[in-house]
Amino acid sequence: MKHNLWIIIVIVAGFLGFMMGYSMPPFLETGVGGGKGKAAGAGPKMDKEMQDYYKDLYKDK
Amino acid sequence: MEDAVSKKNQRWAFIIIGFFALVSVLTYAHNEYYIYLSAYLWFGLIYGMCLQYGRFCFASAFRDLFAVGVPRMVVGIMIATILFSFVSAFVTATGMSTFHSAPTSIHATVAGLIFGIGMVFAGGCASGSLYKTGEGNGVALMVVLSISVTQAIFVDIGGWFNKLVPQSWHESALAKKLPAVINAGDGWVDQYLAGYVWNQPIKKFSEMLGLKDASVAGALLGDFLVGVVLPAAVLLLVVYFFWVRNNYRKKLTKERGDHLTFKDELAGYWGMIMSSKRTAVAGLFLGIACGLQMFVIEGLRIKFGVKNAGALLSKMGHDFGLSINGTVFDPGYWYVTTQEAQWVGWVFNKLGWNNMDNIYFGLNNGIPNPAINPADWMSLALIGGAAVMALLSNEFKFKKPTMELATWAIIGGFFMGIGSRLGLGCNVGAFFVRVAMGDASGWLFGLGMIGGAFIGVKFFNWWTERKMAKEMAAMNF
Repeated sequence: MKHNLWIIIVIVAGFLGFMMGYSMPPFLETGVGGGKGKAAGAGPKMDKEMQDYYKDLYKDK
Repeated sequence: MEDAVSKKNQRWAFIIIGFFALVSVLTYAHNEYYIYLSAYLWFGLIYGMCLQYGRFCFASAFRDLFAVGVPRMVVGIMIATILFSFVSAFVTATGMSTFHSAPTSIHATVAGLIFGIGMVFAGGCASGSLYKTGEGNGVALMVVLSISVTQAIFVDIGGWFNKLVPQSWHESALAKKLPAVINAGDGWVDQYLAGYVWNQPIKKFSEMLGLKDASVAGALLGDFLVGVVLPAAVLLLVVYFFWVRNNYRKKLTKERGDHLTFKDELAGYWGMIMSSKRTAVAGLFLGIACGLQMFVIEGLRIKFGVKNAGALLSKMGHDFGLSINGTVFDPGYWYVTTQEAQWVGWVFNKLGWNNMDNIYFGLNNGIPNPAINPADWMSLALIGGAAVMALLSNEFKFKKPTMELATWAIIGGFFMGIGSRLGLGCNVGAFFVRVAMGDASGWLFGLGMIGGAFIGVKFFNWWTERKMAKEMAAMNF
């Protein structure tokens, strides 16, 4: 059991590692990981197109 | 023979993992945005493995405590909550938490009470039923179905039920001026949410102490130490005095023939805590996984320039089932019941039921196709993760429900579905995660849940004794 469980743990860790690596650069770019003090919980910046998209969804059609 | 079964189980465990790996790789190759859903999938798999390993079931824990006086699992869950909270405090302190606190008032306790009764009737809580489904338990699957259907119906009921809504809730709901398509003045749950729950204050322990929650002092001192460790230590003390101390004292008195010293009491308390290693270890890994999930999801949101998975689904061309805000349910951490309501809501909608005019589906969570619903990927993978662990420890077995157990599963699932929606979550979303994050409403839900479990156990005892007496009478004993 243990041998197989370890193989599965390695596979799962591999996928998780990939995702951690995939999501890490945005932190570094925004300065959170580098300690540049981005406001906590501020969330991602949206471009104007995205802001308009959300705004329009509130409108009754 | 045993080895043969074991090999078959091993093969199936790898087939499940292989399937999830294939889904992740192929969907990523199709569209980069699918990695967001895959993140939910792999964390769900870990949750399932941890739950099955730790036998993480609140219903079993309270049933063991109240019915037979065995506190091991309850203690394990409390220790797991502390460990989970410790990890969460670091995530919160770094500002990476995706957690949203819930309004705090007596409604959480009432919801917990209903939920607690339901989980004892069903023989499994919301998370317990999911992992037991992964073990091949048919009764647990019926509980999951019952919770799902109940929620999907409950959030959209109106008509006669509107008469049960207090006028003040109705007026307050209308005053929120929600978009007309939501029709906040119609529907019991809509008016309960917009007219009552949303008016209640949000209380985190850090903020009650005047600290900022996204800071080291706020997260570790306020939310973790004051909000979790101290209340949990008091609860564990209650468990020690009422369920452990008596036997411990008898044992020591028999061995040594004198009274318990303070040192002995401390040793007894510590021994009780250390007796539930398996559940506690599961809690630690659940905490680590939950923290990492928040980190990964927040990173992906920044990378893709979105605040919610709804925008990604929309970009991929999946517009159906998004809320009017363009959002779908996307908690960014471990959650159980909302995605269960969503998939049944989606089925109902496809059958012609207009259920997008309520707050729960229409304004907040949406009803996306279950095949592309991030939280549904998490729940399915959770079942898969539990199956993998069960297969590898030869604990997987298909169990067909009997008529009696199926009835209890449906009744219990019904109560849990109602309790979940009143409390805005289940034993995970409304208790475990909230308590760990220092949200005061989590403890209110927990107190209700303990009370409900107590009532449920007492009712079950009465029911069983009555049934046995009848059977004995029929046999002329």
